[in-house]
Parts: sequence; structure tokens; C-alpha cells
Amino acid sequence: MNIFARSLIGLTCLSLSMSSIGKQFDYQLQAKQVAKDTYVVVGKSESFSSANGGNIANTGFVVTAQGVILFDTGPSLRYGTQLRTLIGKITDQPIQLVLNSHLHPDHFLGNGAFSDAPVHSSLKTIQQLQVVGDDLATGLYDLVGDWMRDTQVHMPTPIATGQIYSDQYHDIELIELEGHSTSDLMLYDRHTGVLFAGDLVFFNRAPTTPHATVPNWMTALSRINQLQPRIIVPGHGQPTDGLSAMQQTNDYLIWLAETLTDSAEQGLHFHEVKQLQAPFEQMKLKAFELERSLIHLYRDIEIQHLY
Amino acid sequence: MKSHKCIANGFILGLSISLTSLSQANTNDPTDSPMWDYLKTKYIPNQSYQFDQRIIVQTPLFAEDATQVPITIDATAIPNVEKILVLADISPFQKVLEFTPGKFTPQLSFSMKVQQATAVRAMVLTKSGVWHVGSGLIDASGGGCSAPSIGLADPAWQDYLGEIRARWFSANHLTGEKQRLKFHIIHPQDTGLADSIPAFFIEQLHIDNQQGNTIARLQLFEPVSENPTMTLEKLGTTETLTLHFRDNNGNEFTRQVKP
Repeated sequence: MNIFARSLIGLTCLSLSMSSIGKQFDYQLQAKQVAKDTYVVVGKSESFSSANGGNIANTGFVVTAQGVILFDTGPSLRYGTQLRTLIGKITDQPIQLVLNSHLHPDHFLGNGAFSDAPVHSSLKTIQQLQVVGDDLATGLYDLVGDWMRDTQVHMPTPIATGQIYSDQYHDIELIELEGHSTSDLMLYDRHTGVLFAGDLVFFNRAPTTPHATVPNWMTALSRINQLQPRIIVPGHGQPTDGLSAMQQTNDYLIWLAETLTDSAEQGLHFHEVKQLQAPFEQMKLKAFELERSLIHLYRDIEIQHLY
Repeated sequence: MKSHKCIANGFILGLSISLTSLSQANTNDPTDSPMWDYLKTKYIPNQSYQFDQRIIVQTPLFAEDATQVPITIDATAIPNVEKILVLADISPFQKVLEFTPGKFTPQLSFSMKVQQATAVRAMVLTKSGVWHVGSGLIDASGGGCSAPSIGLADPAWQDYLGEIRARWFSANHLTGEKQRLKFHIIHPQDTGLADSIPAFFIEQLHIDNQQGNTIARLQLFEPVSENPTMTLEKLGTTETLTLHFRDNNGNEFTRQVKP
């Protein structure tokens, strides 16, 4: 479509569909049980669009005897509200604790639906949200539109890492690593073996790098390897048994780092490198995310290969 | 009188249409940009031009970072290129850069800032005096031209100002048959639109050979990204060249590049 006309057409569509659209902002959320008391709401393996309303990341929760521990709240107030309704269909337990894995808007902008519960993240994530939170929310409004109605940045408060809950069925620990962003919180239940890895792990969906430091990310994945979780819930993509999702993310990062370094050494420019194809057959959005990653990472690598 | 004038105009119009179709000149803007008429009147008034698909203007899918939008222009399919003027249709600064390739081939890669979604033009002037216009589109949320430079936030920015890195890349199976020169200079490239930060950017680059002859020129304007990296290409062999930069405050930065 002509990019000059798009904003006008957007307005027209909005006014035409206002009357009928009220029921349509339904994310159709479904909870998938992956272990005892442990559920995942799987997002779409897509990029942000007005069709998916920003529902591209996973959220998940553990129902304990003390209440529900929720890991991430989705991209909007509407998502958060619908997620809360979904949780209410599964358990009568109150929301005990809400966690935000990191600063990206598809993971925390549903916080507003849980304002009566403690909402926590790492201190580093809070510090970053204070700087860029509003811009990230505005950016998502631009991309997905009215799905975001009434969504505001609802600031989490800091939480210490380590064990946060334990009984005979669950032994839940918070682990802070970095690499995908400068602070990536994971939730690990040693009893069930389920690791909510946040965006440190992607599965069959190309990893994103807007705040990534690739070597740190690979170090974080080796920590996940040491944990030997039974099930990994990635930030994006289906939950998987064993370590395959972690392994795929690691392989992709190795491919990305080598590709960018080799390309810089050959003197390639952006539009040459973006045409290279990542050798991962099942992975969605490879070309799209490579192009974005080039913007995030390639310039500095390019300069390092000059004298 | 009036109607006569109309008829006369109609006649002239008809004539010019038939003339252009004879020479297969295409004057229909492929991007449908609302600014083209203004652009052509301002920058190439009364000069002959045609849109030319042989000129490749590569842009990203989306301006992920509105202050760094990578552009590659290739006009090597056009014979006898005199210079390439790069324009952005919808921008507080429409002129991006002007490249006189000289001994280099008429192609270059660089990054620019965009203030909003816009068409970008590679206006290629041939030695016969005709403008060939290549076009591309950039989709963007915008704000790139009014953002302050990032480097200025570092109190030590002046220590690095004008630092140049450069390298020749020999022709290889990925870059093709030409020798490639890539260079990078640290400069804030402030546009003057950010609050209380005056315009401060590189205006000129000339590239000299060992005999001291200038073999290529670049004129840069506000939209060229902070700390610009550029890629140029050249047939034949690599050689020792000197890059001379000059900014709008009169600072000069020089660096020799050996094969």
C-alpha cells in the first residue's frame, strides 16, 4: 500500500468498523497445561500487527496453595484483563504475585489488569522502563492500534531473586540473567522442572535483538543448560520438553554472530547481509528479524572491522 | 483569448507527451509521493528528467531506527554519470547528499535520518544533462531528524570527534568485481532541530589520490546519520587515497587509506 495513504485509510477503516468492532478485540486466549498447576498462554509466532493485537509473546502461571504466580502480562490492558478472566476460569485462587520478565512491551503492558496485586520485576528493568517505558507503549499503539485502548505503563516494583515459593508440590525460584536485554528474569520450578525462560529462549520463531548483547545471551543459555529443566517455556513459541528450544536459540545466536562478523570482514553493507538466510527450516520471521538485528548490531561490528 | 490559450496549452501538452513517449521517458512518479512536483520544481527546475528503473534504491522494510536508515544506491546501469543527488521527499531537510563519483562507480551505501515515512530519490545527472530519477520508499514512525545525537550525551565526545576508520576491501565473491572502500567518521551530525543543539555536521568530503588530484567528492547535508559509515566502489586496483572531511564549523579531518 502507498505509505502516504496508509494513515488516512487507517482512519477510515476505524470509523467504518467502530460500531461492529466492540466484540472483536478478543485475543481468544487459551491456557495450555504443561505440568501440575502450571499453564502457558501461547502467543502467535508473528510480529506486531493490528490483526494479532500484539499477542505475540507467551504468558504463563503457576497455581499454588497461596495463590497464582503470573509470569508476564502481555501487550495491552485488554490482554491483561482477558488473561485474568482466563485464570479465573481455571482457579478460584487470588493473584498472589505478578512478574515482568523484562522491559519489552509485549510482556508487561497488561500490568494494569493486575493493579490490586503486587507486580514485580528486577530493579534494572524498572530503571529502564522509567526511561523508555512510555516510548515503548507509544510504539506499540502505532503498530497495533485500538487493541491498546486505555493501556498505560504500570510500573512494577523491585523483587529480590532466589526462592519465592515452596511447598510439597512446588519449589519456585527467580533467576536474573542478561543477554536478550540487560535484565532477563526467569521463573524456575525445581519441583515440576518447568522453566519460564522469558525471551532468553525463542522456539521456531526468530529471536529479537533490540536490546541484546549476544555474548551475554549465550552465557545465559549455558546457565539454562546447567539447570537442566524438564520443560522450557520460551518467551515466544511453543513450550518444549527438554533443552531443544534453548539449543535452537543458541544455534541461531552462533549463526547470527558468525554471519555478522564474516560479513563485516568481507566488507558487506546492510542490504547485502540482509539477503543471507539463516539455516533453520522451521523458524518463522527469519528474514524480518535478521533485518532488524542488522540495525541493532551490524553497524558496530562493521566499524570494528575497519582500521 | 482565454479559450485560445487553453487550446494552445493543450496543443503544447499533447506535443510534449508525444515527444516524451518517443524517447520513452517516464515522468510518472512510481511512488505517488505528494511532494514530487515541489521537489522537481525546487531542485531541477526546467531541466529534463525521467524516472528510471535501472537505478536501484535499496531501503529497509521499515525504519527500525529512524536515526540510522541504511540506503544503498546503484546507478551503474546509467552511462556517463556526472553526479547523484539524494533527496528525501518528506523531510525538514530534503537534500541528503550529493555524490560526484569521479573515478569511483556511481553507487554508494550510507545511513540517513528520517522524520517520517518518505520517498527517497537518487537523482542521477548524466553528462548529457538529463536527470534519471531512481526512487525508494521508507516506512517509518519517524523522529530521526529532530532527535539529538547520541554521542553528545558523552561528556568526552570532543575527544573522539573526527576519528576516522577506513579500509579497502578487495573484490571478493560476495562484493563482486570491484574494489570497495568503506569509511567511518565520528561526528554528531546534529541537524539543529533538537532543542538548544546547533546544527553541526560534515558538509564536504573529497577523496584525493597520491598525486593530490581529487578523484571523488561528496557533499553531505543534515540527514546523513551520526557517525556516518559509507561504502564506495571502484574498478581497477586499490590505491593509497586521502579522505578530507570538513564540517560546517570549519573543522577539517584527514586520513590516508592504504590498500
